[in-house]
Amino acid sequence: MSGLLLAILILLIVPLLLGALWNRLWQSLHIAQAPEITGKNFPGTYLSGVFVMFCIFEAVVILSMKFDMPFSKVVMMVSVLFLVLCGISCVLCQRELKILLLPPDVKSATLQGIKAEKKVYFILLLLVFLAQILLVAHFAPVTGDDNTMEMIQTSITTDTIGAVNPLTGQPYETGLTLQGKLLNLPLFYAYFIRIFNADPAVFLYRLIPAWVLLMSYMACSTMGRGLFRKENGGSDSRRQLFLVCYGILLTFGGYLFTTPGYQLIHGAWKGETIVITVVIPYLLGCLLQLREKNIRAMAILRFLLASVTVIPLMPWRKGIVYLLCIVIIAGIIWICGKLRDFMVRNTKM
Amino acid sequence: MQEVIDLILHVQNTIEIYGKYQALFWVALVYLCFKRKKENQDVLRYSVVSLLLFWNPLFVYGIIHTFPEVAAYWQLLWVLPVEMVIAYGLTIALQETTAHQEGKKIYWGYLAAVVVIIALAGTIVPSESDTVQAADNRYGIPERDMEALQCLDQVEGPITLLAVNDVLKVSRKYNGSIVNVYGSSLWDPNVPNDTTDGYTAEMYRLYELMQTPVDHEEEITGLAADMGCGYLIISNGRREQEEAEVPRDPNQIVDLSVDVQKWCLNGYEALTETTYYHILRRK
Repeated sequence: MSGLLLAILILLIVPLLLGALWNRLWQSLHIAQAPEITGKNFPGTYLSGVFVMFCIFEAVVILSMKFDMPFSKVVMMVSVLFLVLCGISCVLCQRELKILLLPPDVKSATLQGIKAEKKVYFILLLLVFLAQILLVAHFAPVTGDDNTMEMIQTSITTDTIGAVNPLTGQPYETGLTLQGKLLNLPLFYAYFIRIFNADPAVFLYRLIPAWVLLMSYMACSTMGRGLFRKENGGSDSRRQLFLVCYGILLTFGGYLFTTPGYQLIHGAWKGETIVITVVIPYLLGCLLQLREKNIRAMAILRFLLASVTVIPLMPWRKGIVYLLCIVIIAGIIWICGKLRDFMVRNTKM
Repeated sequence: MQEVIDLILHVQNTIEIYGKYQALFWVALVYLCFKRKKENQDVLRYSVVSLLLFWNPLFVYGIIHTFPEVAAYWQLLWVLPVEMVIAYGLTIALQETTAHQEGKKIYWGYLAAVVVIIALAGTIVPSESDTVQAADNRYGIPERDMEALQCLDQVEGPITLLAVNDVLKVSRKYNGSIVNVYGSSLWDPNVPNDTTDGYTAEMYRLYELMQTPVDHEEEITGLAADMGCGYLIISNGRREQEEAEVPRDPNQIVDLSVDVQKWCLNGYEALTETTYYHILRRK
């Protein structure tokens, strides 16, 4: 139990620190604006941190496979890396972390300072989130053709990476395909299970879905920030209502295996579910943020980071198709917009 | 081109485009279209361009021939976040109600009505597709299979196992020490198998025999012993008995129970019996 609680803490804290460090890096290179100008963006920073975690882990695992390192060594290396980076973040990103974690003024730090409408939306959101957690806890995980648990059990039992077939438990004769070497999300989970001595089934089928649910709300919030901009009459309460509506749709949306609601409740640990409920909305949120000049550069960097994160989460060629679709659609919209502006200008002339 | 048309029709049938959230999605799109406000255009444009792209036969043809990994074309529609479009339309509609004084008074009533509509469109309405069961245990493994696997908990060291498909498929989810003669990728092409390793002819033969184990006990135990299987898990016939149609004539009821003594060959002995399985061990 204590292992699970520690895992929860680490999954909440480490991405935030890494996300802050990611922001600070680009600020120091004068590519991104200071947080006082861009404003508070907790979901964006947290999700960036999660993607940075995935990328770091993926890089370490691929290198380890090259040198046939045992899984325990990978665990140690990753832990040291995360510790060092989090330490650097705590030292260099104090300003950013204060802006992210502390309320902007004394008045909004108290319950009385928050509007009644916002309080109600927050409570509704919490209730919806809890309802989804209960659904996740109630239903059997739909494992079907998923072999995540087998990969976790294999890496922990045999202390190897990519050397033993998770389906049979026998050593590979010819080895993994490129796709197999890149799909390392199960090893990411195995890392946490190993360092916290957590129960694999509870961690994978209960804790991770809660984490993915939380991230999906954050990704939706990123989209909300782009859809309900202040200059278009948007406000915090509209964004909160948007999140509440989204949450209700997900809660009751598990009627068919094709819906994201179903995937979130019955298979949230899968990489593909993380891509469709977290990464894709996050990418769309980044595209919407391209309209705001002061965060445009950061939006592009976050878009690229999220795109790279798709590799350890799902078959890379399939991930490329999703990314291509988004880029093609955005490109068509942009070209049509430019053509329309061109025609309007010509008509006026 | 026929395959493209067949694929598009298949996708439509798969995602039940004439009901549920798809209907709410179209309602949201039409509403945003009629609003004609500049700030709504992003969602509208993205949705319309996405749909035009995904239903474009040329695009479909290009995708299915260039990227065979996209085995289920309908999954590409996940690039269009339907729930977010519906949520966006609902947010705009609900906020518009507060533009009028009367609307402000019954705003929370409107929100409650929205929740009811969404619930009715979703899982509240019974659906044949919603067949996920409540969890028997934290692994999500059916209790009958779990009972059999738990019998092997006391075994020290690696366990080489040959079992019926249902147990084999979940064995390594439960215990990473279990080594299977063959994996579920042998019979299920949907199971990810990211290796160029294949299965031998003996493994295929053993799998075929395990599908109809009656009268093949000698051959199965012989092959299993050759492959070093320390444990066998076979059905005791109870499940088959439960699933068989009960004939009207009681004299025609066939006893499907399995005599475990017939399996005690080639060095195997009966270890224990669970509700649905016999478990044998190699001496």
